[in-house]
Amino acid sequence: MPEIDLSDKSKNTHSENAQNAQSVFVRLWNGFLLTVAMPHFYRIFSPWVKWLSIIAMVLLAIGSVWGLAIAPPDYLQGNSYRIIFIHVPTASLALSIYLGLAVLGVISLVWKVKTAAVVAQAAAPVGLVLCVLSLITGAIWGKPTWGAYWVWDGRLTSMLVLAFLYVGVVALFHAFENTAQQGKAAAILSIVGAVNLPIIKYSVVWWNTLHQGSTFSLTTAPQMPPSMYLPLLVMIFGFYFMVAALVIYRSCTIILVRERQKTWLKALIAARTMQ
Amino acid sequence: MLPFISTTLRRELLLRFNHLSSGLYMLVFFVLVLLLFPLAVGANTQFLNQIGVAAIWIAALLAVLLGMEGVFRAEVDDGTLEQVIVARQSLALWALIKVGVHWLTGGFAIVLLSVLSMPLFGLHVNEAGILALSLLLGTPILTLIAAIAAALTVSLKSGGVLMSLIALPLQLPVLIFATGAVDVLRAGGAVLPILALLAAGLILSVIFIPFALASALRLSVQ
Repeated sequence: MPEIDLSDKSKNTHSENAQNAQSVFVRLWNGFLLTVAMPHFYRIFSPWVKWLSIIAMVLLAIGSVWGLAIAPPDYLQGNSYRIIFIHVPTASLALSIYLGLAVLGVISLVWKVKTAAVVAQAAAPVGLVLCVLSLITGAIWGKPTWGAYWVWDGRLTSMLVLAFLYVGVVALFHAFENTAQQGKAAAILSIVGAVNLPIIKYSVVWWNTLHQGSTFSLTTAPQMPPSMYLPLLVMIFGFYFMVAALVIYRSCTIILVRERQKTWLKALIAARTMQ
Repeated sequence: MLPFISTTLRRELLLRFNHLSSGLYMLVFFVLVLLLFPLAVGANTQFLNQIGVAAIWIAALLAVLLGMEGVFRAEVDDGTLEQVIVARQSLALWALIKVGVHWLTGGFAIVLLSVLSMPLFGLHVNEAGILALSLLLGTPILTLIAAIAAALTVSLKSGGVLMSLIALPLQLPVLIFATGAVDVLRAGGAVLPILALLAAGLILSVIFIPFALASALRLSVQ
């Protein structure tokens, strides 16, 4: 690390400043690249899985008991509203994971970070399952509330389209044999899909108002009392931790499979078996 | 740049017009799908009039999708794509020209064929006119989106189903707005804003999708 003489500020010209700043930036960047290289990613993040899943379990246990047993029933919907404690976290995570896929896609395409593609590959099926879960819980919730499992509401329809977008990404990951190709193909598709997502949402809402008039409005939900939204918040955080644990666990597994011929992994396994 | 454009354009046009049969198959497919609707829902003219626009748009979407399958395969297999890359020419421009020529013999022919909506589904002249306009603005977008899916799956052996799976969700907004145009016309509303939206979508697609096409095509060249 080159030393910077702070006492002699007068001689520090602009170009030197710029050079120093650049070298610091470059060093930070190289350090970052090193951290996200697959061996380091594995070493740094694989111990996190245990702690993340413990936190997730605790939060989910607290949230479920609080939400399903302790929280007061809704004055209009009775006890049937309690599915919100699963429905809302899955729906919000399904959306965030798709955006995450697009961000990871940009990272892997622009900066050629291979680990980003690995994490995307790990996250895509998780997002698909959560999206389907949110559709199913929504349908179950819709039966007592609206009298129908499915209504062609704007939100429901755009979530359905999101599920199909997920299927495309997951299918692309499976379709290619070459790992570099599958990562890039899925990255391109998730970026295109994420750009399209607001358009799809807007068009579906427009279609909904054009064709049938909004009979059911989910957007103007009544204000929730703290006794209801606090357990919901706990559940949302619990789901986020669970997804983080799952995605890291799956990423580490994919890294193990891909790097099984590499020396660092063989050394790691040898060190483990020695213990 | 200009020699590249004119050479590519000439090549594509020659190839397209020497193999007109594939374009013709696509148009026959379009008419066949149109035929399915009356056969499936019955010959009730009033009902057919209601679903006419939807039928034509669904048939157009499927025909465009099928027509784009394997559109880049020959170029990937015979090395044309590699030559374009090696010659340091713009792959995005090349893909745009190729898709444009493809649209000329596919999507544009569907726009012309949409006059069939008048005898088959009993649409009025002005309704058929708006439908043709929406097809004129919408089918290029559909073609470009289908091209993305075709480019992503070009190196796969059985990419057909996967290609539709990728393209269809992305094509939904076009279908929604375009079929909405005639509905709005029937309800007595202003059609121009919807056509303007479609035109905006077309301009944005023509500007941005070629770059997605280029990076997707690069995948198949290792």
